[in-house]
Amino acid sequence: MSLSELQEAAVIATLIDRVAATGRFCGETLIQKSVFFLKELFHVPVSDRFQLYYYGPFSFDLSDRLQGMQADDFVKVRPHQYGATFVASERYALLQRQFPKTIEQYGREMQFVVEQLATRGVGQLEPLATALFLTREHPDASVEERARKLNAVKPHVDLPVAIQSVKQIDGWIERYAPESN
Amino acid sequence: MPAPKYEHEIRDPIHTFIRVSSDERRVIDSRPFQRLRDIHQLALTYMVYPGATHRRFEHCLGVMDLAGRVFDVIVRHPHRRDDVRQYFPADEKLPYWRTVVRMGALCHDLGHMPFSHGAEELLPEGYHHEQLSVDVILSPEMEKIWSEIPLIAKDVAKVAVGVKKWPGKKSDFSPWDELMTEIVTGDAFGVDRIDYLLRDSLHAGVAYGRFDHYRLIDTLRVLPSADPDKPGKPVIGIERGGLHAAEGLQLARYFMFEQLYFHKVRRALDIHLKAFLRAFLPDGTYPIDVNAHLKLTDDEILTAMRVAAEDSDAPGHDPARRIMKERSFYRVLYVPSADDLSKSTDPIGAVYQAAREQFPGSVARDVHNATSKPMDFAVDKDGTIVSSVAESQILGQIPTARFGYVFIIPEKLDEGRRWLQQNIRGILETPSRRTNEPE
Repeated sequence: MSLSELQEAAVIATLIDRVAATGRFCGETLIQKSVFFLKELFHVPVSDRFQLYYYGPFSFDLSDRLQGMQADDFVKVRPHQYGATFVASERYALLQRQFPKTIEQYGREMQFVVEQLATRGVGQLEPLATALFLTREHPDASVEERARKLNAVKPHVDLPVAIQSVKQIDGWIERYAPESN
Repeated sequence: MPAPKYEHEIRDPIHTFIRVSSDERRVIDSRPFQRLRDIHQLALTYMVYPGATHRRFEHCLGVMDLAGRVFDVIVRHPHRRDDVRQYFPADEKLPYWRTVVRMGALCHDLGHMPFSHGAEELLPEGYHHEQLSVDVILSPEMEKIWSEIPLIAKDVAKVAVGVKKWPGKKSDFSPWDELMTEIVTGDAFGVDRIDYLLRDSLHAGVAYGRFDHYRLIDTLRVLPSADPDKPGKPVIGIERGGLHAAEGLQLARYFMFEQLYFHKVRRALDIHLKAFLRAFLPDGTYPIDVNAHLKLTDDEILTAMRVAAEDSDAPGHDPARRIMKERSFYRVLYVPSADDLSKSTDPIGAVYQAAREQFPGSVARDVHNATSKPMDFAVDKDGTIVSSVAESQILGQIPTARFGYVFIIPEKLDEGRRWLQQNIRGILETPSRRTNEPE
């Protein structure tokens, strides 16, 4: 199943709205990591392509999409002491009205983002998202092998943290998406 | 490596004199660079703004000149903060990097196909002009020049196209590499952007593109990122005193998109141009082989369009005659109002779909937004790093420039307007098939 561009916008704007409702800073890095988890942990069919970049998996497609969504007035940025934080905008209500089933369908996945990712800083998100990236690239590799690869691509993530991150990812896959193991 | 001698001067309407070393002169005299004399900077915009006949050639010279100026400002020792000092190479390496940055700036548009962005989507799927720029920079013809200077061709190519468009791995870029390409391709202060705004403004006669680029460049610094999500990452930011100049740049960009780049007639011309090229080019796509790419300029296309405009049997005759002979371009049938936008997620899509069914073969649509990050960059405020969005009253308020048109051929304009007036409510209240949620 694929989503239309507007359905993808509805999912991402809802994600932003739910994170913003917690009062947490919703910068682009958190959105990037969250959408990556939606796609790679839960297989939500978002079309953005991700690759490893400075702070882990990153999608320039998603970056462009966020600008388009701002132009469409589905989301907007608000000044924050740390920089620009995203919130849902006026026309988000149109997406909610047009795609209630799509939004409802991914409610559990968005709840995961709010509870498990939005509470973490980039220092924690980076090794976790990179561990998920490497797990999807090397599905047959052991925890130790993936942790070593993580440490190799992100030398500032030491091996114990890398192992912990890979184990956390394995735990989430087991709990949330065992069929993708 | 000795500092280069700037032995040549080129007069320029924006920067007065652009000084050029002998090595840079070799690149300028090369076949790939000379080709840029025949690529219009703004495609067919000159059919709307008659002065906008300038070419990629002079823009690239201007970008090189500005890149050298920015490099000189940010590497000065008094301008280096302690918390980013470790990212700078040793002083003896700086002449190499200065040359790389100027060369990357000079070569950043070598991959532009005829009419610049006017028909870029005719490249094969997944290809973009930056990829072609890399291919040309790394080609044997250019590699010979790089090896004799000597420069590492890949360093030049990385600076020219930036991380986002780099066809290799993003991890190929060190923090220093990223700073160097940010000078040229950066969203906030890239000199490509600075030059095209000033130059397009001058040639088109649209004054909105001007801003105080002298002040802006003088206040650029390498700073640790203000973004809490990117702790310590070195980025190009500004001293607080340059904030108004930075605001001026962003406002200039917004107005230039609204006034010039998204002009309705220019967008209509692009649609006709693409229709002609689909008929004229083999397989309907631009070539990606470097030699074939270098042989194709605006001149060949304009000549072919003139011929096709006179020959009703020629491929692409209809768009060619509309552009070259009759000036019978698409006219705007529909632009969404604020009220329409409050009722529909995609009013352009809905109207286009309905109009296409009513007037088959006679309508087109064009939707685009000016891609740029929220202007959130680091500002050095008396030694403390703050976010520009938090510090500026203006930057967070500048909207993203956007346009959307449904066009119709002039022969059907009156009929189309009557039809739309009678049907617009129903069209907008019924979600289009494209946007409706599947049951």
